[in-house]
Amino acid sequence: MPDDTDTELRDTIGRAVDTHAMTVVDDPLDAIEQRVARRRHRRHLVIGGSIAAVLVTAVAVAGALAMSDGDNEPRVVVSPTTTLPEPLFTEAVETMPKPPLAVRGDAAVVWNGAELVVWGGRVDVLNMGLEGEDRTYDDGASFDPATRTWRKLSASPLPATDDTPIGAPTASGVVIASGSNVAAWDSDANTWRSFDDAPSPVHDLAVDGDLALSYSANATLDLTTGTWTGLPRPPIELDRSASAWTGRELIVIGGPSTPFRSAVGVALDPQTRQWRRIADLPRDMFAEALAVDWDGTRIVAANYDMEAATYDPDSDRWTKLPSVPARFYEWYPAVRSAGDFTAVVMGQAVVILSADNTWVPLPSANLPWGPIATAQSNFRTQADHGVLFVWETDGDQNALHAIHIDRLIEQPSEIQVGTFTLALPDGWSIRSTQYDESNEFAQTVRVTIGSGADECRLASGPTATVGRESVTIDDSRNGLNWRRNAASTRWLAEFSTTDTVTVDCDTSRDARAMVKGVAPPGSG
Amino acid sequence: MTADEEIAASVRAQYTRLVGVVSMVTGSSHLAEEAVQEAFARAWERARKGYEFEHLAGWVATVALNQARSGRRRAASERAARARLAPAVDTSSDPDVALVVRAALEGLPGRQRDAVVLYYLVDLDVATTARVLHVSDGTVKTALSRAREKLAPLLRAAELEA
Repeated sequence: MPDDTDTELRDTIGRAVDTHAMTVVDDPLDAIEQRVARRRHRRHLVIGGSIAAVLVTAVAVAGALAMSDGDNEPRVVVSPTTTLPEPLFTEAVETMPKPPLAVRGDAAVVWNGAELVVWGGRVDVLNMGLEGEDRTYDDGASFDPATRTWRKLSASPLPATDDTPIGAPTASGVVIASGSNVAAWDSDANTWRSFDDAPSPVHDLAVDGDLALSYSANATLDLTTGTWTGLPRPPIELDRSASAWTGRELIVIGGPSTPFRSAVGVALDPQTRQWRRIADLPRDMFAEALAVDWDGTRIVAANYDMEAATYDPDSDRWTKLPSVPARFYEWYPAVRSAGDFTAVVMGQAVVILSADNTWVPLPSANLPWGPIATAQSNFRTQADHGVLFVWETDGDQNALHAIHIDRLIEQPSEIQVGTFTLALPDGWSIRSTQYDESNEFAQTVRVTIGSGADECRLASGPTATVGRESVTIDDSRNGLNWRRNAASTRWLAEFSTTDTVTVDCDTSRDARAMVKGVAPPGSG
Repeated sequence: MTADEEIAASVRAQYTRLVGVVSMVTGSSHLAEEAVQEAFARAWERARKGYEFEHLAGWVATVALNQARSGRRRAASERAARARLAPAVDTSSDPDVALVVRAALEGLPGRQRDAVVLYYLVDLDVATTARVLHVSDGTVKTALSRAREKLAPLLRAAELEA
């Protein structure tokens, strides 16, 4: 039952709401109906996608596509606003209903602005710890976040092959490549259309209006005629590559198969059909396990060495970022941008790049997926309008998770420092991060947080100390062993000899309230 | 009742008050109308696909406020709103209560803020608020309790000064 204070508040606030309840539009119902009609016209996604990333923002206009709808004049369709439902994802982390597909890794997973489409894939029983024989799949399903439902795709003309399928969004659905076989799926009709075979297996795909682009096939596909046209050879060959579509160019970066060589890159302009070599990546950015995405104004690249950089195509310049502060998470990364945020996903780590180029490591304990055995085949990510979708293979099933990044970083209350979850005090924010691997056996993540003149320096790594004046605290809170330095404000929490965190604040603070828990990799 | 009829009935019954809610929270009546119309349009699309709302007005309020909070939409929708709507409604002389509520809401974490808006402004009960936000009743009660501690003394002071 509401108490007197409650009733008083409701009355007071209610009266204030009433004084603001003034509208100007004469017929709101008519105004809303007109909006619905306008949204229906804008529904289909137009922008091209990169091999593994799709970006849609509420107002981005990546270009206009002239489409013929059969009998009528060509109509211009501009990029849509997102159709993601906001209250459906009020939880910061949610697992969606199970997909109606047999478990598989290495599927093509494509977000087209309205649906997440999954197609193909395979089971490698040894790596996935499953029974039976290795097998491949040629079926798929589509997830609609608006209704939180899956539907099976109709039978496709694409064969299941050992090549990892890849896809990109189109105005009416998706285009999928399985080896050299390529077909487009229409969402409204749930039908497929085959195209000519690509000149070589397709490992990357982007769509620019009516044209699909592929570095690996070194050709373009006309989506209206279904025919491939070869491209000139790029200025350098990239053995391992990752690519992103900027809306004007296909940027491809990678390197030779020799390990530990710095990555290089090329860019394709589909209008001129010419490749250009772009500036080389910073020296530490090895081509090994690189991932990239386009955030609307720049390319963001990260590799499994925790190195990261951005590229501005206008100035042809790379800018090194601070290393990604994710300790022990040396999985093949994914980089996903949705305008408002860019996420680097590595195994159990999700680290967000904020607008001022500060990294915000999200708490791993809140992420719904467990240790990743082989992230490259078992992980797929997409992002749109504040939500990061993560498709994963977990044992004998697949799962689709939605991580509401914009809610988690709007006012982060918890962050991940190494393997520890820490609570940020109210009004505090991250000031800087550092990934220190100067000692390869003692990699350390450092995060400085602060509010006004007050700061705390956090560091997670193995075998730390708090100094000679240490006092051991008999406190089993969160299963950790605690020590503090009696002469200063420095605290240390130890989970094991390889998982420690130190908390060093300018003003005296009980660090035990800040350290919420520990999630070492492999702990499940 | 068909989906279209349900939405139309809700617009007739709730539109003005929801504009009041969003206007009070954002301080902009222009933005409020745009945001509420957009939220109803989204609700209409979902209703036609068979989506069942826990509480339609609560859903619309939450979506409208999310819309209004988005910085990118703000400039565009205000420009569009000014082009279509006239005369402008002056909210510069807001009663102190509105200013206090707005300031207090801005200081709340997202989840608490959503709960306060739905409970006190949209006038839902705890159980419905919890269903709209997909959280437990206990979470809503905790959020409201903390918000009440901040709001009650401020609002009493504002009312005395008014």
